[in-house]
Amino acid sequence: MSSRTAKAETLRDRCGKIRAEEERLREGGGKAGQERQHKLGRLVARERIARLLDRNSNFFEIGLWAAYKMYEQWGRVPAAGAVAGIGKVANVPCMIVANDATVKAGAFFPQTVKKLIRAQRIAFENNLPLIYLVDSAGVFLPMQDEIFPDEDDFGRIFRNNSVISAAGIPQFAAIMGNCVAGGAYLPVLCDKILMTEGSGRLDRSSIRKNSAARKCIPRSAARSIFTKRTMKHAWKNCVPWWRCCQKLTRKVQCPLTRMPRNQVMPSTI
Amino acid sequence: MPADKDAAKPSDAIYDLISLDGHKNYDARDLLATIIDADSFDEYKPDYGKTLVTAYARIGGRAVGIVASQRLQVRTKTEGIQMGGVIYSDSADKAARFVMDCNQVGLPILFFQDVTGFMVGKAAEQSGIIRSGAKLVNAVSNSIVPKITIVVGGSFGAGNYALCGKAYDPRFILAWPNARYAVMGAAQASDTVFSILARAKERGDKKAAPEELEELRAKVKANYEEQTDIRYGAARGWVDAIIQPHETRDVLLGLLRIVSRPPAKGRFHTGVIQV
Repeated sequence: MSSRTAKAETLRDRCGKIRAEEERLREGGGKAGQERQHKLGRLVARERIARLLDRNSNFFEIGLWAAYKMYEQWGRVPAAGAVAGIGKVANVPCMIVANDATVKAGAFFPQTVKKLIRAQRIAFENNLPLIYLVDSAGVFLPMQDEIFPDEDDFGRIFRNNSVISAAGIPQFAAIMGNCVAGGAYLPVLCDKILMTEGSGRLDRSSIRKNSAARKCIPRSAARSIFTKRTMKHAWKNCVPWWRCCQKLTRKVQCPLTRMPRNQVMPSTI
Repeated sequence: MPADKDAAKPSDAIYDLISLDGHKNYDARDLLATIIDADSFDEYKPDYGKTLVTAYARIGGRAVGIVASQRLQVRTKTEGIQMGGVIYSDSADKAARFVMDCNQVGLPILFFQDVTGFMVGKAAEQSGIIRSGAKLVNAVSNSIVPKITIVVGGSFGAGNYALCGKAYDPRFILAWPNARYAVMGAAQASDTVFSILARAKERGDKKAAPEELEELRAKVKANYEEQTDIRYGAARGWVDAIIQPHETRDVLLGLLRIVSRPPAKGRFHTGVIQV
């Protein structure tokens, strides 16, 4: 109590400040961005996660502070434009990653990549099924030099998709908005792909519209990802967003029967 | 599994125990008492290497190994007085041994970091501080059991490494809002950075004006302090989440359930150990 006399910031003050700032970070791109999503008939990332999670599941969020006060010349990038965390779906703890389209159209900044790779790593090490709710414009092109090629850069996400798949950990993707260019590897490398009506833009035309993007992404690459078969597969699973969640829930349930049984660490000492 | 017990002390007690600036010393056992199950604390070698507290305990009935920085100034018969928050050879040796023990029986390890670094100076060098530190780093790096790190105060220098910083594969790494993260404390580091910059400025015949240098010194210090703040580190992914101190037990209850999902992979063995 004696410390109250001094005006110095206390630990409780700092905790309050952190909590308040976290609330702000959770708003993502703010009211305007959220309204824009709603107008398109789409939910924002956190609403999607809330509906996907079991009713009484909590959500342990990771990387909420990612990109905090970084990239200021490009404006705010709250939580690096992505939400990641662990919550229960169909009573199974899963790692859920959702692009936040209200923040720079869900574009990937260097810290977004780092956050996604960390989420994949946590899922891999702890045997957690992964669910990606994709709604992203792809790499943030002005910073492509810091995102593109290295072992902890964008390409690593897809390498991890493949390795996680080989390890027998289920991965699910739901395309719920934009999913363009290199970023479209992610759903294609998952075990199950769902797609909401009116989303996707998987084709080359959307890339062609953006002349800056065209220079960076070889058309042949885009073409090879989206062969007719892939498209057909995605479209066959095409469902409205609300059913997307339901379907995801069901899909998480079924392959889990094949997952290694939870093993409790020895509790004797 | 034994029935769930609560912690011995209420979680709010943490706020009276530690200070935001990290100047207040406290007994790591008091901190742990707000987190672990009551009556589950079983300390490993309590009278040796006292600047690290190593203990077996339970959280929500789950057995864990704990390595925690001791912030109290301690005294041992052979080593004399040792500063809290500093790792000495004996504490590093003890912790290395403890980490190996946990691997042997498959216990997840929790690291509570409030560490200013390893002891420096002639006496420390002669006692083999580097060798002991390397042993701890070696054991931590090669651990096959899940590791969770909680930064509850400072996380400086090689102390960050030896107590399972981000580079040492913690399954989860969390920090309290008061956490500070840097290669060394702000005062020493900003002096060093300042002298490097000042020398660069004065290269050639040019002499920098004293007020110009003073301005530079202030700028360097402010900059370094900003980088030490945990929000700076969290922005760069050095920690997975900033958690409220009083929620630590609840968070750990959830995370321990998650980390014990997959069985341990491979066999435990260390690399070459310096003796």
